[in-house]
Amino acid sequence: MQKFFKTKKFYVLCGIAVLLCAFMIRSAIEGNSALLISRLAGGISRPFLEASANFTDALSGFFSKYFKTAEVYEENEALQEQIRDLQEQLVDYESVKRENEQYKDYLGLREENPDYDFETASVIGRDSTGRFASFTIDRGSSNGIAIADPVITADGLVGLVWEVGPTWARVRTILDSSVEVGAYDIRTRDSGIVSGDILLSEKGMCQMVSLPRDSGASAGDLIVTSGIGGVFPKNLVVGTLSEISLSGSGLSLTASVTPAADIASVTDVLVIKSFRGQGEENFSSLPETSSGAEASSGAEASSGAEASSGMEASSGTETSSGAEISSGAEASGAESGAAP
Amino acid sequence: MTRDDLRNLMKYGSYVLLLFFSYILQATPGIELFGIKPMLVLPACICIAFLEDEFSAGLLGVFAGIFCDFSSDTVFGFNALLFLLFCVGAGLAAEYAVRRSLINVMLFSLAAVFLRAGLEYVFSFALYHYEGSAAYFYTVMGPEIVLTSVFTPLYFLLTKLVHHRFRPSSEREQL
Repeated sequence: MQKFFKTKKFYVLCGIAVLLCAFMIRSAIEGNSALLISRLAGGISRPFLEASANFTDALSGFFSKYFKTAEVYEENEALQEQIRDLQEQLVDYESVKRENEQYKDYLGLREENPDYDFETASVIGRDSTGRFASFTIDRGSSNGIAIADPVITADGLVGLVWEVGPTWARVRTILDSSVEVGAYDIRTRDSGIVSGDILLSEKGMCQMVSLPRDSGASAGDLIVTSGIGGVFPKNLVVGTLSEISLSGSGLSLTASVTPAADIASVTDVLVIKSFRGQGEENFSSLPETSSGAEASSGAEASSGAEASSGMEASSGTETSSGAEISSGAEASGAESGAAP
Repeated sequence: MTRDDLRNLMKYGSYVLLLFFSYILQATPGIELFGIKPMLVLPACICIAFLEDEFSAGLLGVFAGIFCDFSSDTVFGFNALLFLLFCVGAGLAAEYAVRRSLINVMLFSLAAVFLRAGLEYVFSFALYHYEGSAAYFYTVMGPEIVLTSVFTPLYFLLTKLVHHRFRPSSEREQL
């Protein structure tokens, strides 16, 4: 075996290993899309991934008609039951109902938000090594997509773009613990931060932290984006609250959130390339708290209402799109798309 | 170009196609078993490394690793570097230390998949002290490791077929 370590081939392999280490260092500093070889791998594999995704979609669509009848029936029953429950809950909350209806389909979304510049995209890659349901879409910088652009479906928020190639982009979802979204409860107007949780992500759920301790938020409440931080537009549906409990410190509430969008199996998405207020901190968009309760922590909103949690990202790094990235829990109430 | 050169070219071409096809299957949305997506490329690389020389296996490992890096959340080069080390290690082991048997290739494949998942866990989760990350390793990455290893015999069979089909003239004459 020692003979091998004295051959030229061994030195060539060592050289490749050193080159790969250099790639890793550059990638850690500048991101994967900065590397030509990454863009090359993406360019080669994209058409094949796209064809493969289309083929499996067609195949599963064909067979699911025959094999999933019982499952679809049960799911339909469950959804009908859920719709009845939701309608009962929302009967006294007309404003919530109106908000919910606004996001029913893409066309409605376009009409309601003329300032949004959309790009439709299909999911072409979902690797086992892509954690938190992250995925690859078939649109990239040549379509005007940039890092930190919000990604949505007609049902609600999915995540944000964190890596862009010429014809593809990688999306981190709100199930990812490195993604933080400023959001508020549309009924109580209490704000908090929606982010991923490593265990909840397995159930396709995320969490809302930093809700005020005296918040009247309850299960079933609709959560929408607050627009603070300028990364996500205001009033995008995030999901519904499922379970609320005291946080570990006992100073605030933490709630599990069921995303409105079916993130784990989404196949088509919309990328918002630009919107009014993008890149602006926009603290004035913070909702007024309905109870007028004192904030548990944080600064005062410009509207004069007391914020339910802090609003300013205490320390941030500029992303390439100009959006502010917060550092973990310090950025209460503001949004970010930080990658570890 | 001699007949043996042509056979070599076709053999490595088949390996490249096998690795690329495995990557496409691995990265295609919706292809999963029991809700788990196996990592198909690594067992394929280990099987090739067991049958070919360590240099070629290392290069094929880098090729496959680069594609995995594209669709992975890790820094670019992480998979390529690990695949290079695993393939050269497996190639050297098969050449000098162990028999080229199914059980040995399965053990090597399991070890490689476990090491890759363990290192990804350390660099992506453990270092950041994510709450519940240990449970994530057992409940999500664990089944992935097991399911990935299940595919090793299939890849060993496929790579053996390719290796046998394009063997050089000297080996054909011996039979």
